[in-house]
Amino acid sequence: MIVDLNEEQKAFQASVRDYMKNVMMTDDFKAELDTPDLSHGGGPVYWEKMRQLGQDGWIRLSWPKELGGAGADPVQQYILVDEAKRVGFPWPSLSANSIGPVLARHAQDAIRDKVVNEILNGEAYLAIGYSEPEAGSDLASLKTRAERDGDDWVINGQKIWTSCANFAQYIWLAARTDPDPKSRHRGITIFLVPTDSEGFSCTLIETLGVLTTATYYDQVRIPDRYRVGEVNGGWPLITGQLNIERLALVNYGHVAKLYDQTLSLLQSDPNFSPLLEESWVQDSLAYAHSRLEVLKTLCLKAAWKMEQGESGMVEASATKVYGSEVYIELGRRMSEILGAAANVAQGSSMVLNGIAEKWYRKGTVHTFGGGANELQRTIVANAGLGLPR
Amino acid sequence: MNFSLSETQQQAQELATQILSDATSPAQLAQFDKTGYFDRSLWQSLADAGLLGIAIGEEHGGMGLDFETLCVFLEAAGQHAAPVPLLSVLVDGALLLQAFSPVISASILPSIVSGEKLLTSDLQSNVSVFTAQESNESEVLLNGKSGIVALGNDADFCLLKAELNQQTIIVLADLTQSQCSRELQVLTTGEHAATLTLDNLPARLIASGTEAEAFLSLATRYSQTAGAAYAVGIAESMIKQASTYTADRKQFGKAIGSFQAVQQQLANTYIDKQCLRAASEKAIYELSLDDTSDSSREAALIANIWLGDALHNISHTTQHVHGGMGVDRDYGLFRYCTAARDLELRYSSSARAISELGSLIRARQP
Repeated sequence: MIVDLNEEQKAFQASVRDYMKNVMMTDDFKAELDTPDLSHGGGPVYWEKMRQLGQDGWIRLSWPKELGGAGADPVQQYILVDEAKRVGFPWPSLSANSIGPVLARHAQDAIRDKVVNEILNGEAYLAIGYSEPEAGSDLASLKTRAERDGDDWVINGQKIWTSCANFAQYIWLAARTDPDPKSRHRGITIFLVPTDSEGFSCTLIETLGVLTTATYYDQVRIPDRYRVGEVNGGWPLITGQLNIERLALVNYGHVAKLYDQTLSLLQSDPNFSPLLEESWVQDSLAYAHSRLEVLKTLCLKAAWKMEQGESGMVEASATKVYGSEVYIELGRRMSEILGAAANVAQGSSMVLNGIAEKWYRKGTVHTFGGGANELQRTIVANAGLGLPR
Repeated sequence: MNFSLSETQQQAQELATQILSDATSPAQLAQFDKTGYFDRSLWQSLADAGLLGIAIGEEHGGMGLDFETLCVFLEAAGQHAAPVPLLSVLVDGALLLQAFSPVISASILPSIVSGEKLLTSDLQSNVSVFTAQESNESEVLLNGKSGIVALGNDADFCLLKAELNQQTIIVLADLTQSQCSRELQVLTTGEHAATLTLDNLPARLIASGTEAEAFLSLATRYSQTAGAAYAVGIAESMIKQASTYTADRKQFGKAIGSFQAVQQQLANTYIDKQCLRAASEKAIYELSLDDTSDSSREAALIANIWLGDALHNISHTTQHVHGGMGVDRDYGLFRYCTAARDLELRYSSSARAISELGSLIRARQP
């Protein structure tokens, strides 16, 4: 048994870490990401970095070779995203890793090469248009309609939580093409909607933590070549989301950040270091460390299983639940150590660039986003423990 | 990375599982509930198969396999709530003796491997106080009283720590001598422990001073890690029993395992168990890399923290979803729960391990 990366993987990790820190997270980019409206990307430096990421081959790294990628294995893919998130780089997981390869497999020839190249070169972002005001976890109840009109489709409806749509070039849209209520799952088709289409609009939704959008489709007319996959064949494209992506939501580097930074503050800042002598502080640090070490092993193990050709579905779901709940609990414990300074959003008493304050506001999304934890537990119960449906 | 078992480990696992499953049906286990929860004939079968010597050197009659393979065996034993004192004899006793004293090992370990004699230890106790007087170069005389010593009522030999001229020493005592009196303590598992009163009991010196400190430090990390491996087996079995039971048990016309409330709770036990397993695997790996490193000490503490947290949650939840069956002595789950309970307090509680880990983090250089 070897519970660690091998030498080659460690060297890869070091090279990614170096690249992310020195090439991607330059001061001008950090400053841009500190601007609230651009904290997810979409600013001029963001697009500069994305194009460079593409040119340097990082986006295509994990794509299968037959789709123009470098065919990296799940462990390398995990390391890449882990390192990117560790330094706060807004890695385009959904667009580049989750949706991109599905698009490359199922898009029509007329648009495939163009869009694939745009993604791989860091020139395009695909926002996901699944959720609607009345369709969340029960996605098959979505109502946005697409109707055939000659060679075109005409789309009407509304999507919500369409994150990054404010700077995306395309919406990866799930729309109903068969209104018969008996064919809930079988009546859905995927379309790629260019965001410069007439009738498309987008409004920002300011949430407690992150910026997201609502998107509106008012008689949006797109040619049939923007349909992806078969008519009424969208459901498998939606559920085929890779388990490695679920893992990426709570990977170690991302969840460990607050603990790492709190500990180094306690070790280095004379205003905070007396706290390190307090037993309750030591206990909370130990609690955090014991949880994070296990998260690290769980993530590596799930990626290893996928590398061995297993689906890793149960592992990914269990790790997502665990990691997201650790995220919340450590947000509390580390903030307890930092005290009132953890709640300063602006001002000279802010510590650690406000990470604890942001952590609290952004944290809840982890337990319901990317598949609510209740649904992940149901997957664990059914597929992992064999409990009846 | 590689989380799979080697071929040798798979063979050890199969062999152990075969012997253990033949001897651990609920009816078989019930025979030992009131007699010390120790099946001597199973012990002899394990000895005859060579498993008691799995991690003991070939020069002492063992198989000479590594600690990781021993942990595979322990996990299998945990899965069967096996009524045999493997942790006491093989980990707390033999593993440490072997590492520190080739001479005493040569005289004792063959009789352990053959199943003839039993060895235990009292190194983790905060309660035991023994003082030693020098008798000759390799022997001391012990006086004092112990806390609760696992297997203390039945063991022939025991590793103890004592104080000699204000220094900690580690000794091996022969508990069958007349200068040792034992008082039986029946544990919640039904196992027979004992408190020991020693009156000038001769004991053989194994280590003193810094060597004794090193011995204790190693003892702690090996015992905590092996305990976590054993705990993984207990947890696997408790969860399997609960899943099987709730998939079958019907109320309101439906299997209760199909209810979301039950599923969510059992999913939590699965997640806890996976965390415990990850912590255990990491500690085993770190110990096999370097058992004196800070990383192996931390990893063993983390495994111990998870042992306490996970077993507590899993044993309560699995009993709970069983309803009355979970506590029925005619149904087997309770043995796993009491074994879990024993293990939770055996080496270090989760709270104490958290505190120790916190001190280590405090002392770390940035």
